[in-house]
Amino acid sequence: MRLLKKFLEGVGSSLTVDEERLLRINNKRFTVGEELDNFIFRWDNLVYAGKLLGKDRKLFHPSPTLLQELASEQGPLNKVHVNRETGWLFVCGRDVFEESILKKEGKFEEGVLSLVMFDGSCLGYGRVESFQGKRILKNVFDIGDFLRRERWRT
Amino acid sequence: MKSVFLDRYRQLGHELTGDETPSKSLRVNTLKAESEWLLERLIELGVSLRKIDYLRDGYAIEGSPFSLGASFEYLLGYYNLQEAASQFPVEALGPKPGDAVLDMCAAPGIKTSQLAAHMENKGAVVAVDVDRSRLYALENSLERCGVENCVVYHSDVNELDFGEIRFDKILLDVPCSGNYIIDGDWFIKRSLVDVERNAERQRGLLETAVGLLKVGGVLSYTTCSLEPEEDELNVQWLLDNFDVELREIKGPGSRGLTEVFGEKLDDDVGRSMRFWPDEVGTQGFFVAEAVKQ
Repeated sequence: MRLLKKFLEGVGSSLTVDEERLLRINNKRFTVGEELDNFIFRWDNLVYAGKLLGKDRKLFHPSPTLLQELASEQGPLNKVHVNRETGWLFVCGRDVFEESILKKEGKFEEGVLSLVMFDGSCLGYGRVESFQGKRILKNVFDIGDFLRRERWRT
Repeated sequence: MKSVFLDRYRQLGHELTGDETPSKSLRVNTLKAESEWLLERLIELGVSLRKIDYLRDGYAIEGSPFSLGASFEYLLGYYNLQEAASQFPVEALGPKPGDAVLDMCAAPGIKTSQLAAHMENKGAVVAVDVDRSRLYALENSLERCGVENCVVYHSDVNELDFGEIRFDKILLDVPCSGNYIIDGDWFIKRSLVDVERNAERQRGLLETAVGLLKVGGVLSYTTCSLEPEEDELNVQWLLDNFDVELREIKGPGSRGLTEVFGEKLDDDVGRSMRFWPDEVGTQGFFVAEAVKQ
């Protein structure tokens, strides 16, 4: 929960998570609706339940569902908007150069986390860093991860 | 073995060549996207789609300038690549918001996310599969598609103690022999011994499914096999051994066979549905729905 809260603060989100409904399976964090309560009866075989919020490693790694939920939030959330071409490079694991950003919301200063948006959809997020005297958004997570996971397993 | 199988299909009334190929199709994921909005977006990108009239969310892909398995829209979970026949069982079963549904052989989870979409993420889908490596794909699918009403177990379904829990609907998409339309080496790999072995295993799963169904609940039994031993003959076995009635399935395919290689089956078996590749233009598929009495 501490890592999740730290991540939410990092992107400037005011989202609150109902701790009563939190569930942990290995390093994955879920929230589980009441309708599912009766169906969780065998912990050692359980691999997934409810809404995946993300994974705890050294840092909290949010799921695309949580990222999209954050992106829909009103308020001073850190976001950068990009076009399809820049967005696709980001989804392929590349960083975003400041000059490729169409619009910024919230903070864009070194160390902050920011969501990457294309046409209202969240493609992932990154951390603002300096690179050769310029500011870039260093890719931390992007939705291309779904393809990389499949390739890694096959 | 090609000639053996093609001869069997000929005896069942279908002159197949063994070279049929299915059309490609996608399913709009209504948990994340509205059809009209997504179609406009895909058409702008040069994708050519045609509505499949017997599916709520299914579209035939007639052309695309890029791989539809690697687009923003796919990665964001707005659609799934799912063959038309394989979309039909969930469509016919018709799960509703609030239902308790068991998906017994759930991996890789395309139909699991379809169940959740029909249920609008309300109620519960319990997805079970014995193969851990295939469950990773299911987890990815649920995550990408924004499914929130699903619990997934890695287990043989017989080893799970469901206690008093019984389900409104069960999807039993059994492991089967498959069909040559979706597997170019199918005729080389398959034999009639395989078919018999699979049919026996499927009967075990049918027995388990009936036990976990509420009275009045609906069991959807489905295979992507054209072999009657895995289809109508197993349904006949179900009727002979359990207090169930078959529900009439309406759709684009043929009625289930009521005579198989000279063996006469109950007329009720005809209430099931077969997708023959030469009739429907999809892969081979079979669906039967049984209501527990």
